Amino acid sequence: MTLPTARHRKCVMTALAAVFLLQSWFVYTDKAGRRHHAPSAAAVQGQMIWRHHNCQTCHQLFGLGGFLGPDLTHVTERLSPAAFSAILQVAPFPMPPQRMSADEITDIYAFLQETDAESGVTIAASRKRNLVFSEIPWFATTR
Amino acid sequence: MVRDDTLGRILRARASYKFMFTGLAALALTLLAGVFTALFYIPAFYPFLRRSGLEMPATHSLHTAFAIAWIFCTATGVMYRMMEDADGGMTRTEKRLANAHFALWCAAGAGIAVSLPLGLYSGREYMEYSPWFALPILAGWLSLAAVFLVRARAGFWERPVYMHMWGVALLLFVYSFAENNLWPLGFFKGAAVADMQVQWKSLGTFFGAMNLCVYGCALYISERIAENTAYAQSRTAFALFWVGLLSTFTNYGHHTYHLPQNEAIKWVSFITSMLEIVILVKVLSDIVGMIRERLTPATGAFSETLSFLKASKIWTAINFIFAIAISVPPVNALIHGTRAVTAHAMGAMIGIDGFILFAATSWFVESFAPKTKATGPLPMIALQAGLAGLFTALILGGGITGFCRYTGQPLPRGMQDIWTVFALAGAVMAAGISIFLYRWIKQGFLQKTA
Repeated sequence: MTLPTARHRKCVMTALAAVFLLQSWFVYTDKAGRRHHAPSAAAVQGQMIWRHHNCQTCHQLFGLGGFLGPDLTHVTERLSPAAFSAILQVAPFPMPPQRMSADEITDIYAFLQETDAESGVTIAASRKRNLVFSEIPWFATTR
Repeated sequence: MVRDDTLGRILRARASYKFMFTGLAALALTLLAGVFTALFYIPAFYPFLRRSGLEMPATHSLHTAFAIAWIFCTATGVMYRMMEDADGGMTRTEKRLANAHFALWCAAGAGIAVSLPLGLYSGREYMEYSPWFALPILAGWLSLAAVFLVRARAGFWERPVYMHMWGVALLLFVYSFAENNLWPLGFFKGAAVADMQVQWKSLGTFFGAMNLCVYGCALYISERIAENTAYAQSRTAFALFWVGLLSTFTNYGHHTYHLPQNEAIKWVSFITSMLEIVILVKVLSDIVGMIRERLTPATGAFSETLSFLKASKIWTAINFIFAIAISVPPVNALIHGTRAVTAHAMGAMIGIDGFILFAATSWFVESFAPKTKATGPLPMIALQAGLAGLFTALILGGGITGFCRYTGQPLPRGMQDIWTVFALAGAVMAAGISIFLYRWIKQGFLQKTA
């Protein structure tokens, strides 16, 4: 059995370390996720509220999150602020009671709206592409 | 191994024992939280859940946090066992660092177990606990890294592959753990999509490093049982390590087809992930064959360990086929955001990593308590049947959801039955695991004499 020698191992590990550094640089400098203006204060606050209430346990945003609740990617295109607020105030079981103020609900809505805008796509634009050539029916990336 | 009245005392002082036992405690909490989370999928339980005050964000967070704790504690236990049984054993300084490591993780675990039900979250996937607990967890990793890397340093490049896997995994854990906690910084705070990209990347590295740790456990225990030191120096074993390592950097890409990012990331991740699974099936086949050659049917020694490794091999092959299917972009589009993705996650976590760690625990218990009675076939049947039922229900439910979403049709009326089957299958699986857990703890870890 031919063994990988110490020299082989060092070479491969050095190459892999270089790949790791290159990939990290690539991800950190990828402009695809930084298209638009800096978020508003309301959106920043909304993101903090989203985290504190652990919303991603049940809801997804761009594939990140759980499945018990509906996917909230592009939810602001489907629900008005009033409808969104009504759902959070009623919190249909098994959604836990949210106990949020009107300002907090507005901030979360702003966060979701601005995150959607940052992606650069809309539901209407993505639905024009058929399934074979698009990656996602609703959220195809722009070119 | 000394076999007298003091065996219990000797063992309980060992770091490997403490971590393995704590891993089982974490597994018990994982099962309990998982069963409660499953109740949220069955409307008949809603009145009970409302009265109890339980919330899914809390139960789900507990389930994922302690599943990860189980995996890390068990893998760490195997690593410490390797160091304890190596020439010269552990030095006094190493033992002190190991004790510090244990204390830090126990403190973090206790804090997380209390804070999550109280609603103190970070909102980060898989690490939903408060970011303050990341500090003792990270400090624990650094303690282990200090012990392991100093010990492994001499002649590192000639060591068996599991030493490389564990060493690199430790470094990657520290890096990805820190990276996953960068979100308070303005660079990431101000760009939600970019933050998601980095979060996926760091989780990919985190779980890839976890896989490397688990693969190292499989190779180490097979070397101990089969008394074959050559395989862990072979090209196949190193191929698994190198491809697995590449996958830690790139595997997150197949979760982010939908996120605005460069196309190259997606294709590299798909090809690397598939290659890793193919090599893993080969390695598991080899080590099962190696162990089977060494064992004598008359004694039945380590037969339970072998059963778990065989099961892992089969589930790895199943997951490979499924992963290929859902990585194809149109199929990925259909099932994206559905519970078919959960099938992939749980199928891999339990079927691959879980069974390897069950094998490691079984080997550990049998190595110091060889007279432990066999459990009989029922728990294994329950475990396998439960996992198969859970896996199938999730794929079916996810596929139907995705199809209806694409065609614009409403979900069929029988969907709730699928989620009920999923929850019940999970409970059956949990019951099977619980029987093993009970036996390992009662007959193994809590035994007073050999």
